[in-house]
Amino acid sequence: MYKWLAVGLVGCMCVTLVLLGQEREEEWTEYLPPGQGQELTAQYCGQSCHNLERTVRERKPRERWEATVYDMIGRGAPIFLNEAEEIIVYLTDVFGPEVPPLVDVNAASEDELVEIPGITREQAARLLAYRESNGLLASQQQIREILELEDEVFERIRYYLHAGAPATGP
Amino acid sequence: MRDIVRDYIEQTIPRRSFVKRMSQAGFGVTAVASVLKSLEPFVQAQSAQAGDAPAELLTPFEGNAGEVLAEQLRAAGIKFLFLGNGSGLGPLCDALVDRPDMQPILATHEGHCVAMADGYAKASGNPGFVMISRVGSPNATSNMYNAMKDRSPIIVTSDHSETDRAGRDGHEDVEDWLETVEQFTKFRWLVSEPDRIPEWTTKALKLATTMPGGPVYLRFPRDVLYTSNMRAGIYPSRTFSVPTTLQPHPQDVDEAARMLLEAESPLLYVGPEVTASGAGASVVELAELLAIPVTQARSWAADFPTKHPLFLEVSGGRFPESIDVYLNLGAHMSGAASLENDRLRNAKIIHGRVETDHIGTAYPVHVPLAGSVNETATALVESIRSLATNERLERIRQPRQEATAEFTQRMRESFEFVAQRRFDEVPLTFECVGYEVNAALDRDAYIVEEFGTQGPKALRWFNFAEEEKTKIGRTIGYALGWGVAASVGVKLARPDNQVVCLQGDGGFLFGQIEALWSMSRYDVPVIVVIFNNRSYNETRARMFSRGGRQAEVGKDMLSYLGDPNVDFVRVAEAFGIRGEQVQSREQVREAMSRAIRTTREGRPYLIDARIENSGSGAEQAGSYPAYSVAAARTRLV
Repeated sequence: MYKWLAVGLVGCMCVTLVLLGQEREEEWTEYLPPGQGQELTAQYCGQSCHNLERTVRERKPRERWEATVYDMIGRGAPIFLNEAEEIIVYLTDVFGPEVPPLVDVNAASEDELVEIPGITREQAARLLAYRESNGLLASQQQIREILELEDEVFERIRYYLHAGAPATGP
Repeated sequence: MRDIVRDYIEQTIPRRSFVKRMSQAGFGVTAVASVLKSLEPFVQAQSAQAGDAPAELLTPFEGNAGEVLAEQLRAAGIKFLFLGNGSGLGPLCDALVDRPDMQPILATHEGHCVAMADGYAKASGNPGFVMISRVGSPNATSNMYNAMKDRSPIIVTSDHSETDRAGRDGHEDVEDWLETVEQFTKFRWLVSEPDRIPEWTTKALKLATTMPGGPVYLRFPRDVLYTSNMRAGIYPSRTFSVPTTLQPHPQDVDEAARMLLEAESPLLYVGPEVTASGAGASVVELAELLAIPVTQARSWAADFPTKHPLFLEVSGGRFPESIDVYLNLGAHMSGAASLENDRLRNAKIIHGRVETDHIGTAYPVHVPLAGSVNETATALVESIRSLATNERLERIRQPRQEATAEFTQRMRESFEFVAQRRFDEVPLTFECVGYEVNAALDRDAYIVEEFGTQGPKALRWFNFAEEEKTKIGRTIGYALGWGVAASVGVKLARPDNQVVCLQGDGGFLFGQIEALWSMSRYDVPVIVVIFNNRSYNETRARMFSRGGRQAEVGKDMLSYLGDPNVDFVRVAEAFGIRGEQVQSREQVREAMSRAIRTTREGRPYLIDARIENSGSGAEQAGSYPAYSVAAARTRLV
């Protein structure tokens, strides 16, 4: 009986680990702005070998996104040719050099926060004050409440605001 | 005379002393020879009793302990002995002087001895034998670890402190040498009785070669190895070569066969036991019978033909979209569990392998198939055929065959497009060099590779299959410093096949340059191609892909190797090996032509291919933290 209990326990642990991994993965997928190519990027650029954190933090021109996507295909990313072009266009559009950086609100300075279009200096100061008094922010929803953001504004800027642990890494 | 005869039969005096004492007692040469002949059956019986083995199974041998060891190895079919520097090897080396059929291969580092033996074992299917200094085992352990992860049949031996002083942490000694290699060996033993050298050597050979194989380690105290005038019974190979073709349980086979027949979307995951058990053809037959798509586990071999339409060179969790039956033949489940876990959650798991303690331990299993992979695959084919008509099999097979072939073809087009568009770039790409190397080689060449994550870019051009090219490496263990020495062992095993060693510059600088010494000394005509991007490219790319301060400020603190920018061609020349540096596609082509010509003439050749950096942080390669001790001096000394 103990043997089957042990097998069951191992099984439960595996499922738990899988679920934890999935939660973490979905978090970074949420930083992909809407657009044609979003689904392909989420599906084939952040499922097997790595998650999407590095992708959503990068800002670079088309030729460098193209080099990245082609490099991944060379190393075994399961992307068809027509899909590669869609992903490259999407990444250039949403993470091109002109797009504001993804800011870690738990580590950012006031100047860094106001670089995000839609965040005023007063709001940035409010975030810093909250962080000073209450510790690290745990979610984007918390940012939204502190800054009292309208739905439309929040939807526009949430791709550039990261709450949670400031250090990067999957 | 009675006392002399008794002493001789009881082996308290050697043959030489017997002759001498008989002569002193007044017997002539002819008489002594006649007595010796009449006593031989009694001596054989007594010799055999020393090892508690039936006398008729053993071949009596008289000599010193080094000769006994050599004779036992010879009886086991050991031809090459991979030796390292050490005075404790004296008795074995003395024995080899008069045994020209046993060839010592000297390496200048213990790790190379093990890698050579490993390469030899993988390419020949026979065990590799190593003997090194008693203080050499720490150097050997990196590649012993690799061999253990690959379950490679090698026997590593060394001398050991004299029995009357061992274990005191004295000169060249620690309290327990065997403990230091415990994780990297199937078995280890200190041989303290000279007359049991054949027994322990045989046991080592037996354990190393019995599936799942693995390194075995023996230590011989110096006084044991220097024992002279002894008798021993040598074990002929037939006495310990036992076929171990283990059949899985028939009920389990039938249950698995039914699952596979009813599966909508099965996946076959193959691992190194397929190659190690010679199951290649039967696994292909099984896959083709139901058109099951196949993926490759981490392995030192290509366990399924890489150009087969059912083989998914890449899957990445995309194809098949879902998995309802997952058949793992010959691999750990650990890799699958981490890579495929989302898709496995609802799949029925069938796990077949000879390493049965790994079935159901790392991952729960619906049907265990405990047995040799070859027998398991064959049994599954028979069971499936008995359970389904040809018409049903065809109905199952056809749509899956078409879908898999289409996916494989589209993936290949994608890869070839992105690879070929950069073929003419300088610096070179992995894809370009891999393509040109593959195109220049014989159809049945052996490829020894020690690449990192860039490897697939070079290797996807190669057709690895039976009667096509053979892939050996990279080791599952991934401890760098294996490939060049391993390619020497592969060429010893396969002298009539082209052997090419594909090696990154980081791995080459991992103490492998000295392996060129053995390659040169023994005229080992291997082509060594260094994919030289002057960095630990994989290391940098992995670190930078996680963000962090290095990526943020663009500074590579660890991975850059371009200062000094080592000239590998001149390094090779120092060992008497010709070579050249290449920077363009045309140069690769011409260099391969010269390399093949040189190897046909019987000498190795080295190509230093200047490759691009790629992946995360490639732009920052070279921005390393410089330091100069010379500049830090306050006295110019």
